[in-house]
Order: sequence, then C-alpha cells, then structure tokens
Amino acid sequence: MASPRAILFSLYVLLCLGALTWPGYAWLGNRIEPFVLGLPFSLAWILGWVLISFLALLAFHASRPDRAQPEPTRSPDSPSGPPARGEP
Amino acid sequence: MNAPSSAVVLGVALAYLAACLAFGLLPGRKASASAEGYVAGDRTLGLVLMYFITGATIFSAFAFLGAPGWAYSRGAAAFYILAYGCLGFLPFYFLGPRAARVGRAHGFVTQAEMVAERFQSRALAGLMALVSAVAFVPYLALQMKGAGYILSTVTGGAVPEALGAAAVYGVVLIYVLRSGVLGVGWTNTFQGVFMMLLAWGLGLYLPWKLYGGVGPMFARIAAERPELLQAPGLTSSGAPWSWGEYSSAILVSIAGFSVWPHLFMKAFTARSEAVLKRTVVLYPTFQVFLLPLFLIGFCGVFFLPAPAQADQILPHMLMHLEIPSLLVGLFCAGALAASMSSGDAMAHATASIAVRDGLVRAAGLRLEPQRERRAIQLAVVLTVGASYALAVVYQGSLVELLLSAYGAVVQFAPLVVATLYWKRATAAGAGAGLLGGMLVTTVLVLAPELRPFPLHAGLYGLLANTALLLGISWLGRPDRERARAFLRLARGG
Repeated sequence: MASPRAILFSLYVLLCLGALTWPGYAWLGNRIEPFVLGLPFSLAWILGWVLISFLALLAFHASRPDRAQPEPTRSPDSPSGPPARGEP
Repeated sequence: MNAPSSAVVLGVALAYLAACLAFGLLPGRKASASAEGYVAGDRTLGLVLMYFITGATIFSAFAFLGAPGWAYSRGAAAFYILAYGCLGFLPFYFLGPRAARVGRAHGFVTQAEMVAERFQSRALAGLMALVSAVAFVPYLALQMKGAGYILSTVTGGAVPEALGAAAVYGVVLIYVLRSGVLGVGWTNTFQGVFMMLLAWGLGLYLPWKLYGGVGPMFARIAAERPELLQAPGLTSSGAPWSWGEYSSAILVSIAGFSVWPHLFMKAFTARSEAVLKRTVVLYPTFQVFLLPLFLIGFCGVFFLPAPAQADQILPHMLMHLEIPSLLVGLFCAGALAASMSSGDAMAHATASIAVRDGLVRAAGLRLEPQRERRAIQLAVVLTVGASYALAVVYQGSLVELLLSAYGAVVQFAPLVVATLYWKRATAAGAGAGLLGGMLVTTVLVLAPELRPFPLHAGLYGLLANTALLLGISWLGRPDRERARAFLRLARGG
C-alpha cells in the first residue's frame, strides 16, 4: 500500500529526527569547529538540516500523485457559506 | 552617553501603530457579514496571506525577547527552537487537508467543532474550548506585558507599562473587531516583512558594532565560553542541560505544534488544499526569521553591565549602546509588531472558540449568523479585557502558568489524529486520553522530580494520552456508520 515515495519520505523524517537530536546530533554535529560562514559547526549543522528539510518537503510536495488533477477551489461567485450549521 | 530621545522613539512607534491600523482596516468590507466571513475569511486566504499570517503568528513577543534571552543565557539549548522548525509543521501537511475537507462540508471554523461532530460529544467541545481559553489568556497577557514593557523601557519610564499595553492592544482591538481574520491577515503580512528586515538588521549590526562581525563574535565565545556553543547547552540556572530533555523537547514540539487551535484553524481559512500544503512546505523558511535573534542573544554574552533578566538582553543592549534614536524606535515598532501579530490571532481564535465551541456546541445555543458574529466580537473584547486585567494585576511569573497551558494544548494531538484517521476511536477514549494526558503533563511540570527519566513532561503526557485513547476506544463501541462517513469525507471520496 505504501508507495516508494512515502517510504522514502518517512526514512528522511527518521534520519532528520536522528540528526537533530541524540544520538546523531551528539555524535556528528555537536562541535564548535570548523566554523561555517562564521557560525559554530553546531549551529551550522542545524541550519543545514533546515535547508535539507525544506528541499525534502519541496520534493515530496512536487511529486504528489494527485498533482495533475485540478484543485478543488471555491469559485468566487458560488454561494460563500457552506451548508448551514447543524446539518449532518 | 547619549540616551536615545524618547520623542523620536515614541514618534516612530506611533507612526508604526497608525500604519498597522490602516492596513488592518482596509479589507473589512470585503468579507461577508456572517460569522463565517468574520472567522474563516470566507475561506479565501491565498498563499501570500497564509504565509505571513503563519509567520507573524509564530514570531511573537516571546520570540523577539525570549529567543535572544535563551541564546544569551542558555547557549546551544536555544538551537532546539531552530531544530523543531525543520519538521515542526509537517503533521499539518496530512491533517490540514483532511480537516479542510470535512470543514468545507460541515461549515466548521474551529478544531473542537470538528472533533465534536465526529464523536457527537458536546462535552469534548466544551473541554477543548476551556483548555484553549485557559491556554490563550495568559499567553495574550504575556504579549501585552511585552508590549508595555518595551514602551516603558525605551521611553525611560515616560510611558507606564499599563498605558503602553492599553494603547497597543487598543489598536489590535480596532482592527480585529472591524475586519476579523482578513484584517489580521493584511496587517500580519505587513508586520511579517517589517520584522524580518528589522531582525536581520539588528542581528548583523550588533555583532559588527560590538565585535567587528559575526565570525569574531563566535571566535571569542568559543575561546572563553565554549560550553555555550555545544548542545544541549545549559539550563536557565546555568547547569548543563540533558540530551534527553533537549531531544524530547523537539519531539513534543513537533507533535503538538500543528494542533495549536489558532494555527489549526488555518485549515478552515485557506482557499484550497494546495495553499495549505504549500504553507507547510515553506515553513522551514520561517527559521530565517529566528537566526538573527540568536545572533543578537550571543552578542550579549560579554556585554556589561549584564541585564537583570536574560529576556531583557536585547532592549538592554539597545539602551546602553550609542545607537541612533531612529533605530531604537524601529526596534520598538518591531517588538510591538511581534507582540501584536501573535496577540491578534490569539484574541480572534479565543473568541471564536468561546462562542462556536462553548456557546453553540457545548451549551447548545442557536444563533443566527449576524448575531453570532456580534457574539464573537463581544468575546474578542472580553478576551482582550481579561488578558489585560491579568497582565496588569498579576505580578508573578506568567511562565509557569503558560508552560502548563502549553502542555495541555499539546494533548490535543492524539485526539485530532484519531478524529481524522482512526475509525475505531470513541468519544470515551478521546475524552479519557485528553484528560489523562493533561493530568500527567501538569503534574510533571509542577513536580519534575517525579519523572522516571529526565524527558519533557509533555512526552509522558502524550504517551499516557495515546495509551488511554487506544485502550478505552478498543473496549467501547464506535459509531461505525458515522465514523465511516466522516472518514470518507476526510479522504475526499
């Protein structure tokens, strides 16, 4: 049932969580040197993952299967409210 | 030393308030006159508005003063805020569109309405409304205290805190009452751009002025206070923080962030599902707002004289440096923007929740759209008034109160996921999970020594919550027909 896209993205989420918390961050990212653009490595590491996460989300979003379908947008001249409250 | 001129500072701040008012009043006549129009903006918010509403809502007075304060006093512990921003809004990518579909079909504008419909439970709606209100009022009071504090500091006490807070939130009240969520949207777009520019300006200017640049600043901290640059950083008392608490703080934040009622309501205000999803995708870019605030905080590490409280580091430095009055005035306006742009969304959300969930759902009152809009506006006034009273009267630390309220709201997460995904969930399970989770969290926030491992109190709450939700739902009988119909709607089938 799970598509390769979903599996790949789930793996990324796990990897990212591991890299941002213990143990990944403690082992690999948590050092002062080398400085990156004047920032200590521990800070640059987090910023790097912010950037990678943005790209990963972008890729996940761009590859969604329902992409070709038109989006269900409310047209401006349709009645503005949904059905009255209290209706099932 | 040239103290900045109060007149210039105040002039800039007032001009800024006037500009916000102008932006906020523009869209008032476009939305329809019903509660739907007032609360959900007739579900027409596009990507640019959504982006900046979300950005400016997150960027609160707490972030503007608290983030530099954390970096200054706790060092790398503050990085957890950036870290959870990576995936912080991700759950909403999946929850948001589902909620939007059922919301469109049923006319929901709040999270609790959705939960109450799925489980046919007034009590659940009432409980969620109560928790939301209890969480928001101290939060709003904190925003007001921040605004009053800043005006009082930069004018050297010429404007008392209570008066400053009243003036700023008077403006907020006017544009929220007049325009509802669309007013909040346009004002926050303006405020978001302004805060981004200002934070980056100060974040680069202060290190340059005090150390000759960001690089030299960190080189000096690395040489003299290296413990500040290594995670998990320090606790507020200066002792080393633990990896367990650092890591679990990130996990709890990711789990709970999307279900904050004022953020979740965006599922019902967005123009389309694509807009919602795109907002989530863009969310990591908001961290660009926060980075300069950390730079400002690190700037204060060697700053003498030291401020009385860590949260005061930014205004404290500005008042003790020879900085043009105009810049101090702009900072002041930016901090007010931060306070207002979170405060307005909170006031609006609290009032909508109190009326829609409290009066209409839980108490069973029937209101016509026009009267409901009136009721929500009245609730906005009451919310702002109650928060103002709390801000002025309560002199203790609001932070304790706030932390327990935060812990309670995070407990909405399992319930909301079950509402949108799990057909076996029952009202009894959902209610027991919510109550159990809140109880565990509150007890552990107040008595941290009871925790078996040094992990975030909210994590224990979430575990208890999920266990109760699963266990009690399995024992009970779900309304299968209703659950199936609801989930079919959520899937968009």
